[in-house]
Amino acid sequence: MPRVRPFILSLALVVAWLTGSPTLANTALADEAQRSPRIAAANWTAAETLIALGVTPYAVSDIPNYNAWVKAPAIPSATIDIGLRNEPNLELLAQHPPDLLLSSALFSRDNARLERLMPVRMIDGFYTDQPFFEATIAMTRQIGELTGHQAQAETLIAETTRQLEAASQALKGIDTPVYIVQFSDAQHVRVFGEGNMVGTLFARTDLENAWTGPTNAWGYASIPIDRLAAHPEASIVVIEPYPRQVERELDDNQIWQHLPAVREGRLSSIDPVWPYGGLISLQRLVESMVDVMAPVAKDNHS
Amino acid sequence: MSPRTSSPLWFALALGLLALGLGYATLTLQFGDLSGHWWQAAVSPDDASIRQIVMHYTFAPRLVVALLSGAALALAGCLMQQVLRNPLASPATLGVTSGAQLALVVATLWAPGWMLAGREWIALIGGIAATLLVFALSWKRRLAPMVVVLSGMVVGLYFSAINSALLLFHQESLSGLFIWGSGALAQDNWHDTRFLLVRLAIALVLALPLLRPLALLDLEEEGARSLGISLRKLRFAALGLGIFITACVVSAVGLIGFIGLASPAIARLSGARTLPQRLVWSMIIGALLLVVTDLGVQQLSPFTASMLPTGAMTAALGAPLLLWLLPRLKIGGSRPTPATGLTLPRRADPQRRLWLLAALTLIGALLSLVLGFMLSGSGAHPSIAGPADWGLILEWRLPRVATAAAAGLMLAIAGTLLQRMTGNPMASPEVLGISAGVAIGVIALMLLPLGIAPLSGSVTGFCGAAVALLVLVVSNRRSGFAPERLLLTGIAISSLLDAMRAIVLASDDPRAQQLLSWLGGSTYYASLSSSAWIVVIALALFALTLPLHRWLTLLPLGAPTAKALGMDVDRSRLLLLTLVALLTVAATLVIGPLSFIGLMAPHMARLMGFHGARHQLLGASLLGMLVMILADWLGRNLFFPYQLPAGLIAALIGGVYFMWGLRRL
Repeated sequence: MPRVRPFILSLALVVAWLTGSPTLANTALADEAQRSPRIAAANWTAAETLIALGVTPYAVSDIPNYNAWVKAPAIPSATIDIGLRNEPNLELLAQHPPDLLLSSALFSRDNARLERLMPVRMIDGFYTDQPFFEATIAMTRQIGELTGHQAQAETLIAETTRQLEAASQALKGIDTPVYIVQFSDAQHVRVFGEGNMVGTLFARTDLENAWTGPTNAWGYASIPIDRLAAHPEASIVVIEPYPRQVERELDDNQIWQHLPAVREGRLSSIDPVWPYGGLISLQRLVESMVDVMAPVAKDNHS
Repeated sequence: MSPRTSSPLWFALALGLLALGLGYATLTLQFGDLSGHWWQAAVSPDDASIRQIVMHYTFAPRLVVALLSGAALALAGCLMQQVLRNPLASPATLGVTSGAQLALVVATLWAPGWMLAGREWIALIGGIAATLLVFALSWKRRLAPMVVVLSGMVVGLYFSAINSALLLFHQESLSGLFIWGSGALAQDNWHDTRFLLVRLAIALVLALPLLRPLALLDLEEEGARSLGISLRKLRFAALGLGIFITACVVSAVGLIGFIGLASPAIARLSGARTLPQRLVWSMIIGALLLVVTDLGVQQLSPFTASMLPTGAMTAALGAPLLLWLLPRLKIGGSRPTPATGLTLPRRADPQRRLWLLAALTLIGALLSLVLGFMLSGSGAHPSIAGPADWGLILEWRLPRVATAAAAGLMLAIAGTLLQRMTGNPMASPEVLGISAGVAIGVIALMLLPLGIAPLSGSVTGFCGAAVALLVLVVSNRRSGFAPERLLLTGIAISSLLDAMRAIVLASDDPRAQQLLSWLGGSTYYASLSSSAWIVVIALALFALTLPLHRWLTLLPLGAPTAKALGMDVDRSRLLLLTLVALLTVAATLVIGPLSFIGLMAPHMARLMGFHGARHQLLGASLLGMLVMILADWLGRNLFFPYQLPAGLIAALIGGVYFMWGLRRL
């Protein structure tokens, strides 16, 4: 039976994680050196991080929608699709179980069943006790350890931290608050607050969030756009894409057209980014935000 | 009813006062800073003051749109109920709303260019298409009320099944449509107001000449015909008008389901007698109901991170109101009306066809286990599983096939019992509200903070079902479980679930997808042990049902006949109801609240010529299993590795067969 060896290996890996013993893990990984572990990701954030660390995932959920919403980094062509994120295809996984499945608390209802096929690890920037940024760094480290790419993980973390510091310099002294929103339809937006990467950006730079209302577990609130008028002095940054035809409908939207930020040209938009993603998504968000907000900061100084 | 409240005036006045109070509260809460300038801000705002602009372009038009939509939907509901002479008829039960929604979803996904022409027109086309389908299905029967409502329900179920399937795959791109779909009344200009005002006025003008002939429908059909009225033309005109109004409202502000059903009922109940009275009062009550709900929603929304959609909230608040009203509602006696319903040719030798069906079911089950996708090289390809794949089949395919079959069996029995018991072809486990109760319990669990509770879905689901059953029994005991009353109670409970579903979807919560998949009836979570349990339960309940076929033969004859033949009608109804509840709870817990099999299987059995109670029961059970097995297989393999819930597919298969059968009548 060719299946026995990987099975024993993965069993050893599970035991190693469960006991948390580094020596055991090291021997298992040393043994594993001939063959890199096959890792599946039901969670886009984990997929993004794996690829960023240079690991080719064995399988990722819902690749077409990943390409539409997360966009970068691109998924290698060898990776197979295992279906919807909350229902990874068990028939498919059972035929050649990966050594590890990375999922999120959001997508898993019944892990005992999944664990009969392969070890399952919940890896997430949300649902932890830590703030988003710290949780995401911990997640990146964890994925690095699991795949033996610790060095790459540290590089990615250092790079991100450096970029945040640079952003904090570039945005120094900015004093107008800003709403960061994504359109749901022409009347409603998701406005981002604490508890996700947008919150991290606000916490680590002088940028001030104009939205102080309640947010949900993913750090946003769904609101009608007239509530963006609550802070007339605020700027607005729209995360693209606009849903279909919303950009046209906004021409007719009297509230939008009369919002002080829109009338006075304090409106900008940034490239699509997955606000619930990992460090790569965070880097892309920070870069775009610096691009649109740094000129404002400079104006304030001069 | 006490004489003091014998005119709808008091009810309307109370609602009106409530609306005024809430309106004032909302104004002070949201526009306190403009105090003293309210009128000026609403009518001619200062262009430089964003606060006045907000008031002029959101608050004021929203108020007017709520009034207009409420009145328009009530008018549509009133017309439909009058022409179909069925208190269950409403824009939603005739498939108009789901037709409109499907058109918008399809246009959004594949023809975004069309949306630029105006989404109201696309919604109108969808609504009209759904209606034309309903008319086509019931044309041969001269648009007989029962057939129209039946076709409408089927078309509605069908379209919303396709809708859910699309939403499942495109959740991120359609999140805006969730908000629209749940009836958010948010406005940002006066376009919708003008749009609705003009169309409501046209509809009213067109309705006037119809009033007199429609009023004559209060007489029996035969009487109306002898007065020289073309029933078909009248039905066509009145229904067409109702649908036009509905489509206009739906396209402008989204799905608002409850007003069209409730306002005419409330108007009639509180004492409006003649048709013109009922029409006027239902419009007033409908308008006020929607405004009160919307103002209430505006009061609450600053405190939450989620959208509170008014349309869904209407149902959430309206359902308890309807439950309270039901015992006071006068609907025709407990005599069912199968005379205007379905009569079918009898066919010989049902026994042989039963064996044939059983063989087909068995073959279907075997094929669905063996045929599937196998991994080879770097991808999965369709292939036949060999003996080497025994483990895969046993562990990952068999539980799903067995669960699907058991659920199909139980729902088919529940549907047969219900339809025979009530003599109403619209009856199904979901209409009774028990599967809705289960679903409400399960959703409540999903929404609790993750990992908080040692509770499982089966516990909360069972509690939900128990509460639903309790409501059913308490509000129906006095009437001796009269069929129409029972169905109305069930619809009220189901509308609560609909409201919850819409609120969750509109809340923009990432967990919505999981919810949609569960609601669609997925066998994804079936395991060997859970499927063994469910098969045992299904077989036990099936064995319990079989000896009851004498009751099932007598009950459709109506309560008086059954009593005359020596049957304890109340006791047998209660017992059957309990059995239906058990079947529904067991099926819903494993496969979600699908009504499709429960509604379709008994009809399919009848269309195939199984008429006797026993034969229909057996035939429906086999058909339920067969359709569910096929549905589950298609759901697993059609878009491999993506999986569609079996319930959705079952609705698609069953719907086509059912429409075809209806056409043949």
